[in-house]
Amino acid sequence: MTNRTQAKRFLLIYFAIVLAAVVFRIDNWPLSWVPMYAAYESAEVIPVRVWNKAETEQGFLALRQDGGSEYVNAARLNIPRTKFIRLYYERIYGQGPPKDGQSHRALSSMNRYLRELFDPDPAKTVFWDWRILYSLNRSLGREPGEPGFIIEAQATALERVFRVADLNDGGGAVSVAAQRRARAVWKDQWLTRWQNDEI
Amino acid sequence: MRSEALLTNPFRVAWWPEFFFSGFTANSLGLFRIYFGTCMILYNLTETIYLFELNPFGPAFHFTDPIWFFRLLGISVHVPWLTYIGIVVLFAATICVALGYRTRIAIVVMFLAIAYVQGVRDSFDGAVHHRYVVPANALIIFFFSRCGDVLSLDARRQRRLGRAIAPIQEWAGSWPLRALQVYVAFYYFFAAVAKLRLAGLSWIGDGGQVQIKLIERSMRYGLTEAGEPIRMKLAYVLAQSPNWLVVIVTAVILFELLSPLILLVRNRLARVFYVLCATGFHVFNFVLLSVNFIFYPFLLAVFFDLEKVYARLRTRFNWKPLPATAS
Repeated sequence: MTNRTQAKRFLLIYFAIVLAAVVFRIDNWPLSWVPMYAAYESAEVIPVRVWNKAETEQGFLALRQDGGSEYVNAARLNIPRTKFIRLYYERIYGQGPPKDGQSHRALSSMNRYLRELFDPDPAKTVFWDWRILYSLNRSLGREPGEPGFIIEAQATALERVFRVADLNDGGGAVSVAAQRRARAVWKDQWLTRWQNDEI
Repeated sequence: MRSEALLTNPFRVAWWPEFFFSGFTANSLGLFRIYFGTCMILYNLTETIYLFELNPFGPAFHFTDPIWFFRLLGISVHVPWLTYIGIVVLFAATICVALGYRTRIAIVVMFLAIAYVQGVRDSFDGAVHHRYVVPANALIIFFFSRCGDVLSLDARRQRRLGRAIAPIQEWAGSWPLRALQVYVAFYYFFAAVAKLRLAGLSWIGDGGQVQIKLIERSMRYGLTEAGEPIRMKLAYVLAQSPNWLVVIVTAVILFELLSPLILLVRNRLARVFYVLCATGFHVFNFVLLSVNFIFYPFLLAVFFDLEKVYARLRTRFNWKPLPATAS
């Protein structure tokens, strides 16, 4: 910037873009409307899946086309353990990342119209069982129809469910614990997606 | 008269250039560049350290949810050795920004390296983290500034080559730092607006959102045989204290909504108080909720004139004076 006028122009354009991101709820780095932890719906229960090191070190139980099975963990996929934990305890259970819950919630009519032009609702378009099986098979170099192709991935987790009323009544938190199993099962109708690498 | 002028042509009214184009000098800008670059070395380390778990020559993971610019560019596979190169480039560019060596190029390279490394990190599972949003915007602002022309290797090189560098006037030294102040202050404000947009006053009403997160985070590692959380016991206790939760969330929302007022405050103690509140907010988020914005407060130094800080430290530690700058 060699003079004030240029600096003023930059500031106007820059902050106009920043403000537009906020107004139109754009959360594409480096723009953001800062939606972190903003989405909230009151609920009577709070379910929590407990992280277990042994479970994540073992990884997904993968059932193959040939009837065999194997375990696929972070090391085999060559991804950070913290990211594998998300896949294991959240994605395979159908729980997407926070941005999926924020993007289409409480949209104004203008934003809804614009959003549906460019960004379909992840709640209706994102299928995490497909994505997990796609990633596992592609990463391990397996193709549909091959004996080693993974047709099912399973995860197990201890889930504790807390009642909000118990938390708030001063009597101490009480939780009900149960083992939950999640399964991502291959569907043949996904072959076209596979061939087109549609994630 | 002022209010009429504001309505007809706000860009000609005196307050707007006065805020953006005064208050800092060239040395303030140069010192902040050095400070920013130096702090970003540690910040980058915290953001990339777990990527060193990866085998650079191991399997290439096919992302489950590529970040938006990876989708645009058709990047759907992780290349592990490239990530290591990206990390090295990121650190090298950050050091160059701090030193003011080929500053504009270093800023661009640093921005692109952040984009790649963050893109990799967020594409494994689709969880997009926002810790690089403000630093990236700082880089955008610095790219258009003259931060590389002062207290930098670039400036030294120009002098050695006998090339005169145009003096950096107060307006040129001030607007980048003022712009970053506005962005940082409004970042908190936008966070509050987002909460109210998505959940309305119920976000505050019963402290429910924070309660959910406290339980989720404290229960993540399970319970001992005595029924106590293995980790984050304080979060677990707080989750059972609805009255405290309401007080805390109300304070958080108020802090975020009032954050832009810091731009109008000249009193140093008030600014220190604001920075301490913001730092405390991030520290408690880290301790109670594992929200990893704990190093973010380094950016809050933008609310202080580092030239004045340097002058105080110089007197105390007998440092060399900074070069004189044009007024």
